[in-house]
Amino acid sequence: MQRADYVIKRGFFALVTIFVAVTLNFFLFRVLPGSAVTDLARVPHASPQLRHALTVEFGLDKPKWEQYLIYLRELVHGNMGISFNYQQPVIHLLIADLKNTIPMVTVGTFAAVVVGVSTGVLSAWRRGSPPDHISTNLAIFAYAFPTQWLGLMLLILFAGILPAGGMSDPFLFVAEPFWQHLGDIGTHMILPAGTLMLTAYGSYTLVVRSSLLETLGEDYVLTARAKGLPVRRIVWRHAVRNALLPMVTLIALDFGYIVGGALLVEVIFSWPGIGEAMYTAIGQRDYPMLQGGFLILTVSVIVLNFASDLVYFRLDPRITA
Amino acid sequence: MRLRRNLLAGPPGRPRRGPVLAVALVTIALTATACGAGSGGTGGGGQAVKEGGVFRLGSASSIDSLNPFVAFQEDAYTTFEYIYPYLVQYNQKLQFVPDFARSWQESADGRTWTFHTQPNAMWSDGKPLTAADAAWTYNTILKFQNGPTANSAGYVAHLKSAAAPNATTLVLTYARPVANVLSQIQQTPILPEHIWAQYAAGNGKGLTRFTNAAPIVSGGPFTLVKYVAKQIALFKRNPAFYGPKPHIDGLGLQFFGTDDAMVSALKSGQLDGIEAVPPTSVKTLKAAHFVVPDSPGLYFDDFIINSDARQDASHKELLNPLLRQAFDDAIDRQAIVKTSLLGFGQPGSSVIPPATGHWDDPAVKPASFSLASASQLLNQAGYKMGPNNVRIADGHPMSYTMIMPADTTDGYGERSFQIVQSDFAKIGVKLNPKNLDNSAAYTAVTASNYRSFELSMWDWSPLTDPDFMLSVLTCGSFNVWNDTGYCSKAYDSLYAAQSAATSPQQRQKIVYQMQQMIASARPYLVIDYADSIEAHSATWADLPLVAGLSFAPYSKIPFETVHMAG
Amino acid sequence: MSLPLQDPTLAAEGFGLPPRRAGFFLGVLRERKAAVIGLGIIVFFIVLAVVAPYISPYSASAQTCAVYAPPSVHHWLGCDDGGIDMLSELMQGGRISLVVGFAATLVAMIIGGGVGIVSGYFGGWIDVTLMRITDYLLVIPDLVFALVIADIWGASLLHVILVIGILEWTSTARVIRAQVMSLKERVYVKRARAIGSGNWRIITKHILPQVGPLLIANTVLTVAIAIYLETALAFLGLEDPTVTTWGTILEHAFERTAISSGAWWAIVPDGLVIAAVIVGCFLFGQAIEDALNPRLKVSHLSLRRWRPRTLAGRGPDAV
Repeated sequence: MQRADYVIKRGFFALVTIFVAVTLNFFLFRVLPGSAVTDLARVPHASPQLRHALTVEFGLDKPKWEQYLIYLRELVHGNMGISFNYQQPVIHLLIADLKNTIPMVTVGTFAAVVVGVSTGVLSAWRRGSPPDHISTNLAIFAYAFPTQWLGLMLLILFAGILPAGGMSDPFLFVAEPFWQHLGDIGTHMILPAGTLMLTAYGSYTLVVRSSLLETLGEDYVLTARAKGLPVRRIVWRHAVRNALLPMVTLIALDFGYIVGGALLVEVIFSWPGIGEAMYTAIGQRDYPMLQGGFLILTVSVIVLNFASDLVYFRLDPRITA
Repeated sequence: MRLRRNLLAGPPGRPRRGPVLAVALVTIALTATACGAGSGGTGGGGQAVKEGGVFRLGSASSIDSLNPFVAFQEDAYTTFEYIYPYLVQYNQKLQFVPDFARSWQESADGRTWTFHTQPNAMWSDGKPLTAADAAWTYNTILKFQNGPTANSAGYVAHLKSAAAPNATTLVLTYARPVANVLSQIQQTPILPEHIWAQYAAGNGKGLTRFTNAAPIVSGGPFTLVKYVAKQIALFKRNPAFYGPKPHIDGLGLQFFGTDDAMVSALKSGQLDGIEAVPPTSVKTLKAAHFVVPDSPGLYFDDFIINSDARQDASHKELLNPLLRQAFDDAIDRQAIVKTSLLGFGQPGSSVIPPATGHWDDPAVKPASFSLASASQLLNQAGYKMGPNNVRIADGHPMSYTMIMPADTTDGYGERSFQIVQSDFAKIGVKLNPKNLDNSAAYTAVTASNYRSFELSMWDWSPLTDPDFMLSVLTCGSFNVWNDTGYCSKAYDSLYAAQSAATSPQQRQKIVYQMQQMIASARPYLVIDYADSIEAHSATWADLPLVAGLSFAPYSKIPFETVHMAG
Repeated sequence: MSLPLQDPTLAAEGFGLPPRRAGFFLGVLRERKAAVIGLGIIVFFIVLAVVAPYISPYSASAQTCAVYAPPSVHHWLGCDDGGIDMLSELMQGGRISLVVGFAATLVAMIIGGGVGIVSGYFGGWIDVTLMRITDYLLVIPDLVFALVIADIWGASLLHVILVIGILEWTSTARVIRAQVMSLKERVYVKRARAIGSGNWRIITKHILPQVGPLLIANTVLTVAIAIYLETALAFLGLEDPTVTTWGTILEHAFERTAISSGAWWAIVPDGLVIAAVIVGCFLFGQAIEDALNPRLKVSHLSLRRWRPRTLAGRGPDAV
């Protein structure tokens, strides 16, 4: 069956890509000069025995290919190793970080989609008019401003009004009520998610606008109007839905990159997520953390690509495998 | 956004800050009156102070681990200081005063130290806190010092055993007299045996795997009740504490990724105080009526010249004392203090900063800036000016690679480098920066057994006691802390002598001699001593500084003393 | 707005002759205002970069005013954390930012163009292999990958250029490949093969020139991305901090508490010039791509990473 074939083929490709990414991850980090042992052995009165003990403990004394096989075996068992620096299982640390990153990124992306779609529809509807020009140009500019600059601008504008950093203000001994806690996190999330929204919405605006304009030029729309159907119904029922098709792919693909790109936002706003964790881990040569983080981010991108392939396939019957 | 200065793997692996006026290194037996000495108590003259409140402190660093055998960051060490008993602590005058030990004696031969600890003390879970816990801690560190407890091995150097003949007596027996016992003791937290003993079984690997998560069974003025990594550490007053109770109900430490966010949070009232104020923020904080104390810091920036006698021939001229003196004279320290530190610092001279008080040799003075003198010295050495305004030494141009670790380039270090680079260009020496992160930088410095690197720019946070900083320049510290390649038998024997010195006067003499040796050998050209700057809101009063810092692993006194103003 | 430009490639095709490109770009400029604006911006900044050393009011490395001095008559854009005049810094910084942008793009173009042409022309297992490699590289998260590479090699301009080039060639390869594949089927190419021309000759004489406009559009858009990425890498501390670029200006401001010191002038102008250059590149590149529209099977918009997507819309409104 063609559909099943397509699914299997894309699925297989996804798996192979994951494997390549895993291997690339492993060897890439082993190329880095300096090692965790050098760092951790730098204690007063450190002895050669200590360095050796640490090297053995981290398995760095075995030949590379053997380390690689051990790594693969452990990975299959769901064990990503122990962080050199925190001495805790990597998977726990990364999951805790992801729990912080994902809500912020989701909110930001969702806001970008909402703003992008609405401005795109507005622009298409009022094509050629001043609102169209303003909206389109704003979109292009917002897209062109570096993400970190947008973040810094928001900080300048809202200094003192909104929290400048961190995820919440938990100077409380008794856990606050759930909703209050949520509100606290929400207030802290406004600026980082807002930055993500500003930096991402531009592309959605332009894509929706073009897509809608194309759809509005289709024959069936002309037919519908001739039949006397209200404009609004035409636009929403037919045009927008068709126009959203390329949006779906764009969103799904962007989401994968936004998770990695949220790194800049996390750094500016001290958001304790996976981007910041990765960045810290690089300086510390914490190989297990790096491998784990890199793997999670890469796999998420691959999985989202695969999902978008499926969704696109489902939505557009014109596509064949 | 760069790696923070206090992050792992720079020579200041555990940056400690604080001057030492350690007058009382001598075997003083502070008697029971020590209970009140220097520990604050009521705010001056017995009048009542406002109790209560939670002090919210901001930090641009972080706690990397709550396990004392794993942690490297200073905030972690300060956490331990406030939650665990230590035998001794520093007071504002940097004298050793009692903490868990109320008094102590050193034996005549200097090999046995006896500490009398607080009676009837308790851990926060109600279990008794006795000298047995202390003995267990020291013995465990000794036992695994080549493995899991290696990061604490320095504290127990030359220690043979620890014993607790009764609940309030601890006896430490050393293999030979050690001059800085109290300084090492001051850094050793006493852990609850009943919690940790199970992890010390077998090969002791469990000691480093134990997360020691909050709420922690504590013996200090505060218990750590909540800890969310990279976000918040919340301390609550410990009613079971054996010492003077804090006035505040609790202390919160919030972590920020950047200085900017932290300063903004202070200005907007989200915080009550911040550690480590960057020089660029002082003006704006003072204008907003914050209290911004600024004290000489235990910290210096340095210019490193490869001092290995067997370094590559391609830059062997670096060993020439005339060249070193010329380089010293070509560093415009005043300009650097003005531009990089914005005036919050002093020109550098000795590797033992003046902030250590009487450990700094006043005879070692900063070099005067003079490009003329530098040029003349290089001429004297026979290094004539060549093409492109670069001198020729031993047949090759004086163009050197300068290793710049992230510790330096993160923050004001690159401004300092730019000043140095342009001044050196004027005397015909070309400096080429090579930026690496800390780990790679150290690897580059130690490559080929210190033979290949040429120059570097780094920094140090010496401890209050000079032993550590002096040890960095020993041959034995190669591939550990030594980042200069300096190795001298004469220096090493002086180092051994000062560490076994029996009287502080004798020790000081040797330490001065060592500083002069270094000042003339010039493996380091000390550029500046940066000040230690803090800030807190005026709604809080009486926040004393120990070694220029309030929240630091030197003393429990600051946060026992602070209280709400009015 | 305007009519879709006639694709010169189409016109000549019918006669079995290779299409003429002369006047194509001028045609684009004539028809589209956006292209003129875009090109104008690009040219402006290039000229500015060239004359910067001569017209900068002050030095871009020596201290000439107080730290974070606000804008004044003497220093129109104030000063940064080292007491260096901001306006001069922006001018000089632009030179290096543009150089990095162009150099990185050159790397991406050479690799991507080469891979695309070879892959599209020869097809078969060469194509499959190269495209698989491209696919794998596309899924690696950009910034994190760049972080690691820049860390391995150390922070320097050359490394930043190489890293960006390595990240960007894949999309160029895809685009060029698609174009080459369709070109391969053109009448005049088939004739050349029929009369026995060697592959190399066909590629250089027939394929390469036709790929030209597309390559240029791609180049301009890649420059935009390269500049964007350079600022991101600089911000994360992966660039030589002693060099002044638009990216390191933002990084210094951030590291040295510009915001809490109220020094907005250390941040705002920098972002504005970066955005201006990127918008300029975008407008110009888009206009060229629009003109090639009818033949285009793929399109690009993402400034962060490009992936071929199905075209949305048609005509001048297409993206």
